[in-house]
Amino acid sequence: MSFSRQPKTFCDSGIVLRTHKLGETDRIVRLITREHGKRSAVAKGIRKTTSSFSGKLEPFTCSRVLLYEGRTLDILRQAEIEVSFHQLREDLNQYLRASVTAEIIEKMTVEREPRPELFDLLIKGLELLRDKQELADFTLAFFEFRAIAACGYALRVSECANCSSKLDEGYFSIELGGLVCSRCRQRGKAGRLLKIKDRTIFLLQWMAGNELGAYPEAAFENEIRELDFLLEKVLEHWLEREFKSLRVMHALKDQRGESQEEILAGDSIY
Amino acid sequence: MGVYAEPLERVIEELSKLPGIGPKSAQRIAFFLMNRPEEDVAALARAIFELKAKIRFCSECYNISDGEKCSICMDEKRDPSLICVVEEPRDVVAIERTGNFRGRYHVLGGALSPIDGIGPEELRVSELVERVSTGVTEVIIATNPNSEGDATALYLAKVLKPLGISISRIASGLPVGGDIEYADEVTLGRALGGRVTL
Ligand SMILES: [Zn+2]
Ligand SMILES: [Zn+2]
Repeated sequence: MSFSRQPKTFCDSGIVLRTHKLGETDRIVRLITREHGKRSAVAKGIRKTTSSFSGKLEPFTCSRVLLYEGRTLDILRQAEIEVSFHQLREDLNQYLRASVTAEIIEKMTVEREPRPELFDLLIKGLELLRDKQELADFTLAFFEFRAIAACGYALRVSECANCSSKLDEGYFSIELGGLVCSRCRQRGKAGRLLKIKDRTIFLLQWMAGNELGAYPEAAFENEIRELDFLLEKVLEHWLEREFKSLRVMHALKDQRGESQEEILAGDSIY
Repeated sequence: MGVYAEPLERVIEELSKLPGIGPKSAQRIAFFLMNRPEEDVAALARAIFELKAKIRFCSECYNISDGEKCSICMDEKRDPSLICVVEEPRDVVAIERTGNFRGRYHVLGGALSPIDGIGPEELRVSELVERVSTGVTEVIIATNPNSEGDATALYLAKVLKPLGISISRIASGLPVGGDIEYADEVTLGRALGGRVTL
């Protein structure tokens, strides 16, 4: 026998990750709030053009929301825009990248478990995507790197991820989440491997020592593509999910050149 | 295991899958049907069955149709060089109600939504491009004024521009009957951007 919990109303800042249609005029809004974790909340009447919610709960919008906590779904009582991030919805490439950041945060969080550090990371990521358009590819890669670290899987990029000895070549192990030395690679201890360039290694090490918002001094056009590929593999391996927005982004982007799948070396023998 | 006899239980289960119908309403409707004369219930069953059997998508515009082509595409008076692109068949109905549009339609079957895995391949975009390359001179994009609709409009503009036709998107702004003071900043910003000369 259990007593039903007192339902409660609370106010928090929330970033909209995605929305789904519900019935004729409502939507379920999925958002990450700063103090109350990821929530799914019903916004009643939001799809009517005269709704007071309209425009305030679009994807990537950060709003101050008043939520009534339900058993599984909350109810949105009020919403006021804090940062609209509407610029991210007015450019297709920006929209795609912002969708990727939102999907990463959605997949990394558990319903109603507070993760203020991920909320802050997402705000920072969206601000940088909005303000530094020309550096957007790097921003997205760095965001992915930091998000992976925030989930406790910090990539090991300055010593061998298997035996901790000094690095002597450029192979990245997806399974181990870091670079590996030649001995571990030859003994087949590292699983699926990616051969990466020295400058990509440099970039990974630079990221490990900097916070999102910093940018390296030199230009890294080609390495970013390699970095993207690597981080996507790590995300998909460790979260055991396919990232839909990444697939759509690649389908929409201009051809990314020859497939990097080929540089994946053989499987491991554990 | 349900409380009611199996056939009744099955009807309740099927009805509760309908939008806006909860278990209580499903029960009520099921009991109502049970007490109706047989021919009424048969007529309803037949109508539902024929909905699936006879309704299909227009081969030209993908609107809902009961034949190869829909009534709008069959109508000689509708301008075939002007196409209005919408997300869903229901949007065709909404625009038809204005009585202001004399062209034809193209129904995409949704809108771009990367996070849901919906890209151009999942929509009828290549069909639109193909149609536009054969005698269409103007395209009006009438996707919803939300993020998915915006992204879809941006994408369509990108793929249609090289075809050298005129492309526009329906204006968005304040709803008729609304108050400026209650409008959010994004809507109001768009209304200002799309102002008209008096
Ligand atoms: Zn080693
Ligand atoms: Zn038609």
